[in-house]
Amino acid sequence: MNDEPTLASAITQQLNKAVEQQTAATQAALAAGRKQALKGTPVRWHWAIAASVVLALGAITWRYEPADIDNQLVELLQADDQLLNDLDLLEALAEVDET
Amino acid sequence: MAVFDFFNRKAREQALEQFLAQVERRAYQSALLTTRREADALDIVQEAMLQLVQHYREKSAEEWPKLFQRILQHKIIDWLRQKQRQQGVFSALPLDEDDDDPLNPIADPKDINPAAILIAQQDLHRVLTALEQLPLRQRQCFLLRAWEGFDTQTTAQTLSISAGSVKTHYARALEKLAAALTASPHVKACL
Repeated sequence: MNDEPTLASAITQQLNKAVEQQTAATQAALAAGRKQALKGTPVRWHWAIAASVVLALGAITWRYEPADIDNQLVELLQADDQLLNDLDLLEALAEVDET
Repeated sequence: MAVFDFFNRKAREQALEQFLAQVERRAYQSALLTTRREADALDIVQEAMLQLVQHYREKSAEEWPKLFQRILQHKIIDWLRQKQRQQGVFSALPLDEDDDDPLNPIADPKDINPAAILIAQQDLHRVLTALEQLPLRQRQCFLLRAWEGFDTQTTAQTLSISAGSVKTHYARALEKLAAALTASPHVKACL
């Protein structure tokens, strides 16, 4: 009986070692995937990462309010209208005074 | 009766979770050898687990290992084919490599016996690289036969290929692994 380890068994020992050396993050990701699989809903890692990035960008830009040009123009025009109305009123009063 | 069914289903779900917890880390390692990307390997393993749960949870627990490996290995092949489509035909990764000279003598691992050297060396990186460089079929045959302990027939059923092909791929995998792992100068020096 040859007790010498074969090449195959030596390689599988190394593979077992690779499994033992998996990081805690990998094990946690596998456990999360298992829980989702048992619920019947897959976690899409790429989508999960993309969604996280979108959420982070959303959180960063949440308080950023760009200038509302349209609104400013409307306010300006309204102010102009008011000024013109006032001028019309003054002219009308002046005409009344003359008569 | 309904109470009995409830507990029966609960026990089955626990058994399935236990089974998946046992195999997921090896499955991930197996997928990672092909994808070389953690996110892709995680996706493959999860999809395989999901498919087992959705379609085969009612099968007997003894059948789960074979069914899971069958799903997993097909998912790995699907991933590789998808990659090939994305990369185009010119840079296609080899799914199956049969360009070896059939007259090449198949290395007998006991003749060179790099196993003892490997163990002494603890050279994990070299082993993983050698496995990554195998064509997919050869790697699958090696992992199923040597690591999962499947016999030739079960490996053939799992990979949907003939038993003869399994033997050929396995022998070639061993030959290439032996060559790769004995190629480095300091391993040769130990021989």
